[in-house]
Amino acid sequence: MDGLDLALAFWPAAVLMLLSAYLVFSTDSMARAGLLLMASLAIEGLLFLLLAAEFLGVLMLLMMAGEMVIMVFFMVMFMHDPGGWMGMDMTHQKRLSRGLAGAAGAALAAIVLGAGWVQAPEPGMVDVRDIGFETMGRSMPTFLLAGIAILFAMVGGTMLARQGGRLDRPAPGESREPVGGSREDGQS
Amino acid sequence: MADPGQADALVLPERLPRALAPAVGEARLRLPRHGPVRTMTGPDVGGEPVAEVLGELPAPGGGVRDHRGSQGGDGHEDHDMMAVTGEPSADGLIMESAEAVAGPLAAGVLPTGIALGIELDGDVVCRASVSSALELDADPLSPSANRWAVERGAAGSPQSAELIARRLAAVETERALSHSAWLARFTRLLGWPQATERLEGAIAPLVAAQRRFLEDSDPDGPGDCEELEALLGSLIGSRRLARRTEGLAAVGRRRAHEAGLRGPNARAAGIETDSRLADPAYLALDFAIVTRAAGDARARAELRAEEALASLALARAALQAGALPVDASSEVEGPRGALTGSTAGPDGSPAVLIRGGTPSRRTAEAAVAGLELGRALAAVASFDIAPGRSGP
Amino acid sequence: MSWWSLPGIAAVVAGGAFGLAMVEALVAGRRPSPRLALRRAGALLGQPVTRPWAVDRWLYHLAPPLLLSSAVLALAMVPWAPGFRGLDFNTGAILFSASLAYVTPAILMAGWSSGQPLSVIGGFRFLALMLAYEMPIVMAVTAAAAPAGSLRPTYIVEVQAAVPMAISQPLAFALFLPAVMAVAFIRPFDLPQADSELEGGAFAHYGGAHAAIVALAQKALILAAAGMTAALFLAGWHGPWLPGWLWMAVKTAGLAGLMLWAGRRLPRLDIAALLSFAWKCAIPGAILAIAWSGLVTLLFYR
Repeated sequence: MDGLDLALAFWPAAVLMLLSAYLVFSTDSMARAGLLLMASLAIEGLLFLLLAAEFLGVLMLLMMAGEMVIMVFFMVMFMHDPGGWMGMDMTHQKRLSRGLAGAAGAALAAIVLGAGWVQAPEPGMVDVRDIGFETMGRSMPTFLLAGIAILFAMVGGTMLARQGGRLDRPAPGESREPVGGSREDGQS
Repeated sequence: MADPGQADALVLPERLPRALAPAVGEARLRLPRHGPVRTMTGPDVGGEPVAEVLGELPAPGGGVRDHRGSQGGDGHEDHDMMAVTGEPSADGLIMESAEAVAGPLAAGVLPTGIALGIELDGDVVCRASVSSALELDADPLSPSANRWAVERGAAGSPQSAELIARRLAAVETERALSHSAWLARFTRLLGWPQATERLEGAIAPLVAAQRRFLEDSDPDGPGDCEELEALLGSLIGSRRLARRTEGLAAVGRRRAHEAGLRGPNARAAGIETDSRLADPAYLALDFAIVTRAAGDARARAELRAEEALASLALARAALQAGALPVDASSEVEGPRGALTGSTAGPDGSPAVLIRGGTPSRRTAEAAVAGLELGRALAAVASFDIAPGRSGP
Repeated sequence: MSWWSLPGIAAVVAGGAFGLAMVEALVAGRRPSPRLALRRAGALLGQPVTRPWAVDRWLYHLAPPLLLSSAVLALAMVPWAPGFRGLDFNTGAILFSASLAYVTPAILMAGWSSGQPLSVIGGFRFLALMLAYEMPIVMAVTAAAAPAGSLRPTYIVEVQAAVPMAISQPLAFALFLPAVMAVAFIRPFDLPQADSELEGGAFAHYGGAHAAIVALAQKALILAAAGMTAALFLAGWHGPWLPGWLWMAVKTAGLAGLMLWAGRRLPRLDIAALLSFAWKCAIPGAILAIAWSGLVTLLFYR
């Protein structure tokens, strides 16, 4: 897919992606914000697929679904008005944010437009294949073990941090009674 | 049938308690193309004429079954951002509580007429309340037992031996039916379609037998119940049932005694209380009391299955014996506890008295605090609560 | 990928849903009745689309189509026969997992947007479940792909010409099958909708066309799950005597029947027990499965 076909698919998708990203911050509802962000990143994944970076695109799609629902989950948990029903203005420090965002955007644009992108790799240049071989070769055990270690650290930390587990809690005002099979409920 | 959307029509009694109106209204909404609604004469469940009651329904728009939860738009004017309730749960977060109602037309958890109000903290139950929407006093689900209790309570007219045998067979058949139907409902709640469908199919002969007993037509008893007996036998000791009910809502012996539990709920906690122990008619049939010690939902479920099996045998034996010893006592062991007949009810007519308030409901309410929603519903259902204003 | 793929996939979805309804009836011990299935579908579509008042309109209306899209996309990844491979991407196996990953936000949206406590609980229950079971799915897929040296489903099928992956990698198979059943939220994993507990749960307040879309999406998910398991672990279209597509159909139908049969015979699993099992057994097991697949690849496939 190249030339006109690619442009016809790419630009509208890119615009849609930027639009969803903007809507993330203009909506009041936390749930919608999270899901809009997911939509934006999913479109980014599809863009990767369009540009023939298949694995990257698929990974974006796969990971963003999971990550964004976790974000929605945490937002619902911590925010007082996750549904956005009360029209609270949840933006703070607007001028500073605008300034920083503008500066970061300008810097990124400068890099994109000014860097010398290589159209096709010449032999002898380090390219993605070399990176791939390095990662999957010598450095493979490092990445593998790091991932597993992080997973176990997260799960272990959660298990150590909780006190008693949520299903052991009696209702407010009720005394702890043998009635209620809570002893073996939940994680033990 | 669990979903009004798959029904063809809605059939109502001529009179309906007001408390049932919202649930009936929503069921009507969900009928395909606002399907036909018919009324029929039937058992009196109290209340006012149907047209009057249904005419007062709130405007359609759904959300009737659940109370409006605090998230997603309560009455906006009184929703205060800082109005969080309750104490922090074990994960340290203060959550807003939400309310939900199961019933009174819930097909899964409880018999028709019982409403279960739940206050939720996330998906953990903080508080529950069990109430009946039917304005009845006696248990409508055990007519044979009620009738026998009233007859025995009628002073000065001892029953004939043959009649006693028939009434005993009727009550035992009804007990088997009640327990098996409860098991069908319970397995439906647990989401176990194979068990539910087989049980529902197997209790059909018992339903017919109960009707014949009530009409006093020549009863040939429960008849061939091999399939039901096999099913009940397989449920006792079933690992699949045990996994969902082991240790759930355990009521110890002391606590059961304090709460005043009766019937199978008490027997599952190890208390040997059964009116049948003192009845010579039962003793003549080699009645043996069934008890369990654990007092959890598993014990209650298995005890009911075992009692149902024993009841089928008792019913058959009674009909075979033809005549049984007479007794002066006016107590009858119903499927859910002892019933006492009296000739002096509130308006002078014969009535059935159920003593001691509603211990099962109170125990169920206390048992579910702190349980996750699914387990809480199973816990409440395991107490076999019957509709009516009072009941064991 | 040719232009025939799209109508072909649509035909597979429609025909597969219908066939699944028949399998479901068979498994329940009833006589499969096409007329009854069509009548039920018609009744569902004839229902009025009632909407609860406390609803997030955008999310409420978008959730069923998202569910259906992800189900159809997952189904499109399944290779049915050498000549009809679906959307045969180079990374098809991972794209399959990616499409399944969008079932979670769809159900979360459905539950959340209905605005009622029991629906929200249904949605979040499914989220908790999927966070736990997504890893075994992806890791099992990776384990199956390692011997083939590629994520393309047709290559994975080809490499099983001699030995199906279910035999050479039993742990991955044992983890994958329940996990995809959980994604398709069929019994005994039907926690989000839990007919008896949550009074319909996440989808309680969907009627009419929406409910029909959800039902179709679930059937497509079951078909995708069964089909992909057959392709990845049961050697797809390989087998003596019968033509490839017939073998694939037999294996898929067999797996679907097995899933539905198991669902009838087992009570719904308890959420706490499921999560506990997932984090303590399934995920370490999945890591072991990957290690095992590496071993098997080194010893036998290279």
